[in-house]
Parts: sequence; C-alpha cells; structure tokens
Amino acid sequence: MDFMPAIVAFCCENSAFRAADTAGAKQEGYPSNIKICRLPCSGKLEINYILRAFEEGADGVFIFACHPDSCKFLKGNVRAQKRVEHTGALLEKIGIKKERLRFFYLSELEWTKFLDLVQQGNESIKGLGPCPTKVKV
Amino acid sequence: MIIAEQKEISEIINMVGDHRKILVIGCDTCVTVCLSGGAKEVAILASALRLAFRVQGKQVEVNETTIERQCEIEFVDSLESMAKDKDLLISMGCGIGVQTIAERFFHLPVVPALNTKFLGLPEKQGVWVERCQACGQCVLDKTGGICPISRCSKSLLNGPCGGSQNGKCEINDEIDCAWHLIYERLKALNRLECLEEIMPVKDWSTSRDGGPRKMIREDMCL
Repeated sequence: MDFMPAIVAFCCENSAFRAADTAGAKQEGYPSNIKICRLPCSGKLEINYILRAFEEGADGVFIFACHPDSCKFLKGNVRAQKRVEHTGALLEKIGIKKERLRFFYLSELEWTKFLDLVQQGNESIKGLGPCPTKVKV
Repeated sequence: MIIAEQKEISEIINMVGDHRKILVIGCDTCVTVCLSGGAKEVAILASALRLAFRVQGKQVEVNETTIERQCEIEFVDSLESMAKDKDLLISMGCGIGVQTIAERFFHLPVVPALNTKFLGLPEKQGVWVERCQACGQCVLDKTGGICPISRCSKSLLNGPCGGSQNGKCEINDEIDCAWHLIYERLKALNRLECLEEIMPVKDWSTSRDGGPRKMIREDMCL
C-alpha cells in the first residue's frame, strides 16, 4: 500500500487559510491528508507548534504566510520565516530532515498555487518516507 | 538580569546519556526574560528531546515544569513531587539555578541546558549586552553611570586607552569605547571635572580575586 504522509499545514487566516477554503470548495484535487491549522497571523507560529506536530505523528509540516510586505500585522510573516529557519536547523540536529518542514508565501487569491504547492509538497514528503519519529520503540 | 543562552541540543543529548526518566526545569525569572529558559523554551527543549530519542529508538520519558525562581530553595522545594521518580534533572536556569537544584536534590544528577553568559540587559529584541561584572565595588557615581569595568575591554579605571578611535574600541569597532561614552555623558551632565580625579588601583579582593563571595546581613538573619 502506498505511503500516505500525514501533513500539517499552518495557514495564516488572512491569506492561505482563505485560499485553502476556496481550493476545498472548488473540489479540484485537494489532498485529503493535509490537515489545516488556522493561525490568526503566521507570526503566531511558535517553534513548539512545529515540534508538537511532529511529536503527534506528522511526516511533514508546511507553513503558509502572507507575501512579504503584505502582512496585516506588518512583520508576522518575516518572524514566521525566521522561526521556520531556526526550527529546520534544530530538526536536522535531532535527526529529522529539514525538508520535512516547508515555508511558503501565499495570498488569499492564489488558491490554484495553494493546490500546486500542497500537491508538490505532498509528493516530496512521500519521497522522504515516514518520519523517523514514527518508529515504534 | 542574568543572561544565558541554550547549549547545543547535541551537547544536551550527550549529557542525558543512559538516563531514562528526565525532568526539564525552567525558571520564570531572568532566563525567561532573555528567552533562553522560560516555560516556552522548556516546552521546545522537552519536545526536541522526545523527538531526538524517538529517532534514536530510545524509550526516554521527558517531563517538563517551570518554577518561579530556581535560585531560591523555597521555590526549588516545589519540585519534590515531580523530581522524586526521575533519574536526571535538566535545569534551564542559570548556573545558580543548577546549583540550587543540585543542593536540594543531593542524590539526583542535575545538568545544565544553558551557558550562563553575563549580567546585562536587552538592548533591543533579540540582542543582550553586558552591563555589570559584579566586582563588588561600584564606581558608577564617578563615571556618569557607565561601568568601565564591564564596558571597557580592558576594565580601565582611568581611560581611555590609546586604542580608542572615533568612539570605538580597538578590540572590535562594533564595541563602543566605554571611556568615550563616559566623557560624553559627564559632558552632558556638566560634570567633566569628575575626569580629573585619578582613580586609585582597584581592590579586586571584592571581586573574584577574593575567592567565592558571601554577604551577611545580621539584621536580616533569623
């Protein structure tokens, strides 16, 4: 049976969450294994949210933030990107490939791009196989 | 406040070694403010350790808690119920916190997750700077409120030295010359005459040269 990765997507409610909503309503290939987690701003993303997602069984975590200079709260997207970079480096150090963590900029209108990104991301996580944290001890 | 930074995760994992029941302990005081050992950082470290041990195929139980102050025995006492069944305590407090926990839980190993750096303040978000070396003999009254011990690279008491250039230190041009700052501040206060007073050789016995220090206030002793 094909490996179906569990993916958590943290989406800013001012952009990607709306794009995801539109993409879902259009019913045009939205992968069912993507779990959306709505954030009031990508700046609300905490490092621990990402780590907990992996602890709870995620094989990949995607972060969607508003485009540069488009954050409703001015710099939330910049802060989110910095935290993602920091967390990626931490994941590598503990034996989880940083490619399992992806960061994207998106506007609420780009629902087709959202679909492309999650489909491509889905395939890349499939290629990496199950996250090593899922190994039973 | 005390400024500290987290050790590399690989170093912390090495310190855990073969221990299997761990408690990660944060401190709500200085290290919370300098974003290195508060409840949020404890949650991140505990989560990272759980993930790391899972990747390594080890069964390690990692619990977490944060107390008000690790440098006061009364607060450390509150760890009793959580610590009793653990075989390793990881302190995310400063060096004082680690030692207070070690004294209180004499038969339990305690390891530091942080490197304690200096006494200072946040200059801006994410940047901390040194302001005091706890030398035990404050001269800030003579230097316009700017400490030459901690802020002059040579801790000169009668500066500046010949390496001061355009208000910067010869050690690194990102470091302000403390004596330039002192001059500017005393000038603004119209107290430049303070600089005419030669400060005598400092008695370093009140600093680390006098060995471990102790302060006793008889009026406060019970």
